[in-house]
Amino acid sequence: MFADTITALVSGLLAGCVYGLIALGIVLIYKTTKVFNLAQGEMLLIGTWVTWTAITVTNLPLWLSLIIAVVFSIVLGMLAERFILRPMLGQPLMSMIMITIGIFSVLRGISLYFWGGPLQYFPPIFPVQDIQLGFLSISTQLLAAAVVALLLVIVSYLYFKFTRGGLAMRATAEDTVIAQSLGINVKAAFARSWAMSAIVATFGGILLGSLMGIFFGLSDFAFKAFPVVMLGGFESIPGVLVAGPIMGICEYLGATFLDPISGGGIGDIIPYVVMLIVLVVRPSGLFGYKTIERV
Amino acid sequence: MAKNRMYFLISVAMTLSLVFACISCATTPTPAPPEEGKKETVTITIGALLDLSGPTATSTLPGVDGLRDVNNYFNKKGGLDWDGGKVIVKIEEFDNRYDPSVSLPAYERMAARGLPVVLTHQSTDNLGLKDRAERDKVVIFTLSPTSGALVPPGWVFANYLSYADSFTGFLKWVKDTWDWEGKGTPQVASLTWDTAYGKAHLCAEPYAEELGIEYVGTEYSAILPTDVTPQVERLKELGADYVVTQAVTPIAIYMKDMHRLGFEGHLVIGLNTGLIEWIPAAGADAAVGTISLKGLIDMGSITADHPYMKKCKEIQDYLGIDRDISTFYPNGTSGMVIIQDAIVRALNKVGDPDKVTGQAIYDALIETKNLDTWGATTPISYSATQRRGSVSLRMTEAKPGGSIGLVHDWMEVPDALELYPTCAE
Amino acid sequence: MRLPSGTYNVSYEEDMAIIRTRTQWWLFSLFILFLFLLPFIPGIGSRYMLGMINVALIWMVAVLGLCILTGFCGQISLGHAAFMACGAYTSAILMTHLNIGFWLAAPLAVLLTALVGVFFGLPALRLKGLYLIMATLAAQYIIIYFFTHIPALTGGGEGMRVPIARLGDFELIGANANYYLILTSTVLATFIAVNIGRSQIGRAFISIRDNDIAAEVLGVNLTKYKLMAFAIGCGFAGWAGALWANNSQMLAYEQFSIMNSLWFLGALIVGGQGSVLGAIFGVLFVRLLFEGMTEIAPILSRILPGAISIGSVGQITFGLAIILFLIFEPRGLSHRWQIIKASYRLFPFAH
Repeated sequence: MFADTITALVSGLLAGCVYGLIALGIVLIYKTTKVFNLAQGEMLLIGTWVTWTAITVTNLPLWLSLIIAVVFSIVLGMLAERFILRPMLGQPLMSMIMITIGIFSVLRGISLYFWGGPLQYFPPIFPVQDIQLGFLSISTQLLAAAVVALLLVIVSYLYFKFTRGGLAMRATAEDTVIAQSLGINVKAAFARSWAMSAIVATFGGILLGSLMGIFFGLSDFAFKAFPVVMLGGFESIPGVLVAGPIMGICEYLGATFLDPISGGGIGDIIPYVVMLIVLVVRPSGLFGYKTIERV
Repeated sequence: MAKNRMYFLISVAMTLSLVFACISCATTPTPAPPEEGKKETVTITIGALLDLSGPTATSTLPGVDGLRDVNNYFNKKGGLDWDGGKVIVKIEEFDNRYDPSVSLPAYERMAARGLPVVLTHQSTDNLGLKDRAERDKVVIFTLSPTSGALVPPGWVFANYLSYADSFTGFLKWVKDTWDWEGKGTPQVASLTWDTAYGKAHLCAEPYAEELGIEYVGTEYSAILPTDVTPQVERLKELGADYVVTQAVTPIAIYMKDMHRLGFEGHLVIGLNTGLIEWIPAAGADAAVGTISLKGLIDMGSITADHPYMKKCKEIQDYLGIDRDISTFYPNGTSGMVIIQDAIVRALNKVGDPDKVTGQAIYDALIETKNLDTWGATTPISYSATQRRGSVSLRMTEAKPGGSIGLVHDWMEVPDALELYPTCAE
Repeated sequence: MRLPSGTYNVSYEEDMAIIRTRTQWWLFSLFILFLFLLPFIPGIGSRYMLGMINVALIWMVAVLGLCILTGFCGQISLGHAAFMACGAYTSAILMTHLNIGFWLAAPLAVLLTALVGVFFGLPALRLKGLYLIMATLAAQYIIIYFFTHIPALTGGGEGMRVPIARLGDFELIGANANYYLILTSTVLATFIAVNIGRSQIGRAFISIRDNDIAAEVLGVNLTKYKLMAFAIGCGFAGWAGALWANNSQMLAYEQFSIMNSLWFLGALIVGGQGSVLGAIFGVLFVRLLFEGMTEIAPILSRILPGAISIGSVGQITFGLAIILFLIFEPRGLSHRWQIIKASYRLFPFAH
């Protein structure tokens, strides 16, 4: 019983870090542009496919493939922002959501068109080994994924807090008109946020791909990340790091103890139930900005 | 802004007219095949409702390749031979994106046009269309053996055995090969998804008891888990010797985690997925000992001089294709061979392509006996009460070094759908 | 509404009427007659076309509900397909296990779905905008999970057969019979939706959408009206679900996925939020797009060789259509329609 709990805790923690990584991408975009990117999963998938093509089809070394992946992500992010999101500025919330759904469809179609459905796999990037801590056993792949996630979150947080670019992006989120009038290049800020989000998504995809192989269902991980974003607060980068593990732990603990009663599968909806409860109690999430409305 | 509006209106007008044109083209009735005398080539059209771009496209597409390749091969050769000459089979494909609201109207259309056979690949379609097909007298041939659609026998035919049958076959194999003296009672568990096909084998659990095998528990994993350590730890505690799974995408993770945690039992993959893709994804070391249950031939376990491989190579060379043959390919090729055979026999019986209705094909299919699918399956037979073409199981195993070895060649399995009617609900 | 010359309104009812002159009554009646006689037109009356039309009409009922909930009241809901599932499963369960006829089971299903809608609308009292969307997303997953995990009642993940609705001895099966049932429902639903929009309730909804704090200050009881919006909107979805259950005779949870919720919302936006006409246009557009995609895909597969999956072209087309629409015509098809009508009326623009 105790061992079960600890195992579930650890697995949940690590899984939660990966969810947090994907959630980070969504938060990055929201923080600057106030757009909730439903297409995050597809961006993840395409970045991963491109990396895979670079590694296995054109046989480039790993470091070069990663650079190509990063460049591709930047281009993808900027294209999406320039041609699709820019015209949508000032539109109501629903239109923004719908257009990210449009992007989702297009990217999914593109990934199916070029790479199809069959499962592919990365040559192992991290060694598949085990770390034994008493009765606990941790997979190095998963641990590496969690570490990379942590690093990226910290880097993003530092960028937003301490660099001029990050400051510009935060200002843009507050009010684009004022930011522009103060001389901040709002367009560049938007482009940067999408590019960063795409890079984060690609890295997340590479990590997930090395864990379970690459196939187009990988984009469904984004749907798991939505409750994490919600719990942590839409604008909070550190929130992602707290909410991710919490959600992961809830999911695994719930699956461990409730699945036998419920016949299975409860782990998939536990994040949503937790999210609902938190929403009712604390509508802006754990670390989100509370909005005070005035008439 | 006026320019924008103009562009927009033009594009809308073009799109709408294109769509309308296509729909009106589609709803014009097919011209009747020409009156032919002897030695003319006739055409029979069949329909296919497939998920070509939706969630299950991964497993559908290679099977569809198999269908298309065999069809194109024979068509390119001038058609199949029947008493009155040659017949070309045309497949009209519909992409339903796994969405039943698309399948339904598409099926209605095919039925309205008098297509005698509709190929399907998913259980929602099989179950949803079973009653309609019986009313409309349209044969549904499915590449995915949904128990509920096959029993009680109606107008839905499958080319190989259901997942519950695989499970009973596997249990029988365990009973026959287990070292009862040395190792006591064998213990079987499951680690699977909480979906319909994920749990499809559980209905045959009582069979384990009948054989004296202990079924110790079912663990569930998320649809996309990052790791399954808790589940594997519990399976270790339960002391499971064999863990059956009917999941698809997380198999690499199952293999890796079981290997990492030192789980000594064997993972048994059902759902006809086969091993060939998972061994590289999980790593040859992690995959060792995994058993695969298939109603079709496992592509990784046969060499180039197996009759099936030779036939596939012949087809691919003839069509000029160079493609890796995936694990789902035999599904499509065997399906196409069965349908072609039924069409030819139906044509021979009625003599006239116009008279090849669903009923004619149904009658022909029921009479199929020991049809050779080049080795993709055991010889196919249907009867008045049997809608599964082959009720044989073939078991393979992942060997050290990444190769796939044969555990047990084709064996007849106990009919789970008859023994346990709950399987067919 | 521009009235022909010589028409004067002398009473409040006349002023409020949508159909005012005799000509308009004639045109309207002919239109309704045409709709009911549709199956007799060759070409359109075929099983295929009627099947497509049936699905489109069912979607219309659901999207009308969404129009009331989101378009009028501003409560964005990403869980509409799940409410449709609720209605469908409830209707099927009542008919199968309690042997209630369709004509009683369907209204009960509608009522139950409205109650479930109210339950999931409770968070709406505290949440707005994106947070509400997340709450309704949670509703989508939780409701579907619930229905797939009561196997005794619903057959779990395998799906559920639905008994056929009967009118006396007459079985409502097949595209034709279902068409009349569904058409009547859709006409009724449109009638209700339009009139809700014009009534006091509708005005309360719209005020909540535009600025709920101001509405509250003006005395609109937010709790009552928000919950009412959820009840009515989800009730419509339940109605659509019951119709769907009878039409497709077979329920599976895949028919009510998150993608369906997204398509409903897409249909509403493309058609133009905030108007019933928008909902109708939107559904027609999305269904035509779907059917068009299915038609065009094989043709394209011959033009574009080398693609691994030709169905993907359909996905790309759909996404592009949505994006282009939102960029160039953000107020939707109904807005475009109003402009077309206005320009027809004003041509040549003499002023």
